[in-house]
Amino acid sequence: MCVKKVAMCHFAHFKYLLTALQFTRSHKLNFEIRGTLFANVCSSTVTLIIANGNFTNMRIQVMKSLIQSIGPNTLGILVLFLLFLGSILLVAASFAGETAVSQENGEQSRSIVESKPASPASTNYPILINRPSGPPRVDTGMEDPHGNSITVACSTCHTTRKPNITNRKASDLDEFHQKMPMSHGNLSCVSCHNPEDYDSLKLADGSRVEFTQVMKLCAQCHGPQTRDYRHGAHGGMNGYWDLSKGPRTRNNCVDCHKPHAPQFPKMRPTFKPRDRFLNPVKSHEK
Amino acid sequence: MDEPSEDTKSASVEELLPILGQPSSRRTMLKGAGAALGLAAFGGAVWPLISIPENVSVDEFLQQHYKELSDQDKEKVFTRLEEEAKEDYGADVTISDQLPIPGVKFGYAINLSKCNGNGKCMEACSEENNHHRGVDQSYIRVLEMQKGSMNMEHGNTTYDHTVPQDDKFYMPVQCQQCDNPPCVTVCPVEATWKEDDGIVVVDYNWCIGCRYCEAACPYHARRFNWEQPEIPAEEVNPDQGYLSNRIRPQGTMEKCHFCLHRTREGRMPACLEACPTGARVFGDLNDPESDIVWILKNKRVFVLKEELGTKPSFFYFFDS
Repeated sequence: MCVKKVAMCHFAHFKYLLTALQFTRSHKLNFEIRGTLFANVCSSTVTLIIANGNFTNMRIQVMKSLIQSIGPNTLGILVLFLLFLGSILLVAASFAGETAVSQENGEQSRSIVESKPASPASTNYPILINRPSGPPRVDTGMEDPHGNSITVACSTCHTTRKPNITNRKASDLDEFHQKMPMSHGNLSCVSCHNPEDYDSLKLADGSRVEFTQVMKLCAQCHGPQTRDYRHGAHGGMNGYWDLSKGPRTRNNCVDCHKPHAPQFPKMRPTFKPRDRFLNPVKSHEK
Repeated sequence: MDEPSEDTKSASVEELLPILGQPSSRRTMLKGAGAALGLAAFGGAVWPLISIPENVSVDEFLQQHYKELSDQDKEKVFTRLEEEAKEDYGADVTISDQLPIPGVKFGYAINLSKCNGNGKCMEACSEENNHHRGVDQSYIRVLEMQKGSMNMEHGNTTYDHTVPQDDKFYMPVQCQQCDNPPCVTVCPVEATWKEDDGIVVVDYNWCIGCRYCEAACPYHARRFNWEQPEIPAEEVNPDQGYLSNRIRPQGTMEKCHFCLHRTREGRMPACLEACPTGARVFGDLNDPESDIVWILKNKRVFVLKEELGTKPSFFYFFDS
């Protein structure tokens, strides 16, 4: 006998078992029932071992009833035991010199055993955090012969000028950046910008930090937000909640908050369900 | 004893219905009445088979409850629904049947300190879930509430001004996926039930549209399809689930299903991805490392209408 399928079901779903038995009889297959194997974990589970049959459909039904009837913890044990039992039987079958077990068709993808990740820790996808591409480029307001606006690096101007560390507002400046809105607490320009290298930022202790690492800078003052961010309670995200299935993309601080005026902007709602009690229905107008 | 009739022509009929050949008496009259009633009852019983409405195919009429469908049945049903979508909407759709992930219990939390009532979640829901564009239906209602009150009945959904207003807060309400769902209890035909991962689903083809569940839901989370949904072909979302966002027939109930065609594949719900404020958090309540469990442990959390004992899997929290 060559073991093809090992299936289990709950006695409450007896009809699936009967279906299986009728099928095995009608196809003259060998089968045996091992009753109450798991008396300790699930009082009425039956294991059905069927030989040489295409039992994809039957197995799925039985598996479904299994999930419905038992809890997730016991399922794990049962799945492990099922795999264990299956491997033993397969080894025994091949040892007896029978032909190899043929593979099933694609319908198996709905099987419960396969949909459960074997080792979630090792197959996890990353959490990708958006990052600024680097130091910003400043628009000079001029255009090159092709009509593209000319942008320059911060250091283009700032390396030739001595920083005035008393400047707090954009309007304090003699030229450039003068119309930039600045409402970020009591901060001055050099609270965050590095007066020694304007292509980078600086932390409160004076050490240099790159524009790409801006979250480190924000986190110095915004502790609760950083804590919440780390636990997914702050900042939007996209992708997968289940990292064993795919990656997740998370926003950077400056994706949602302008560094110079970080308060989240006011919005205008754009979408309203037109309730039939409140507004005429569009489809009637057509 | 039966007396045989002299008429030979009617003999065969009498063999079939011996009551015809009997002399009229009170007994035969009663027998006749009984036979007529029996025939009428049989006719009444099979009448629905004869009176299938023209726009309902025999397959659709005879379709079993979702839980009774075998995999072959499902394949047939899904193929039929895909063909109907092509015919009625001109869209090539794929209808799938995602099963609950074993061991996962979904939970959803909204940060009321962050939500500013912009309504992007409603828009995303409408697009993702193939809602009727005629009424811009959505599974979500964003309520504008007076600060200082938690009474959702006083919320206003029709505000049309810049948000957020200083004296208001904004509370999106959708299906709370209750562990003790009143909508499931009242359904007379078991067309709605709670799945193992906590999502309350509807078999739209089994639903009779009685709207008991709509009346029973304390969160006003269920919607009725008053009309056949109208969706332009290019706006139909082709990634559809049988229990989730396939185009619903007219006269059936529908509700938020946590985008199960996405979330059972491990993806985030559409309303979460659309939220520009990052107020929405989704995850597995059974995973102690998940974001949502951290929020439940560390934030000020409340559930809506807790006093009703519905045990929602949907939570609201504040930053401080």
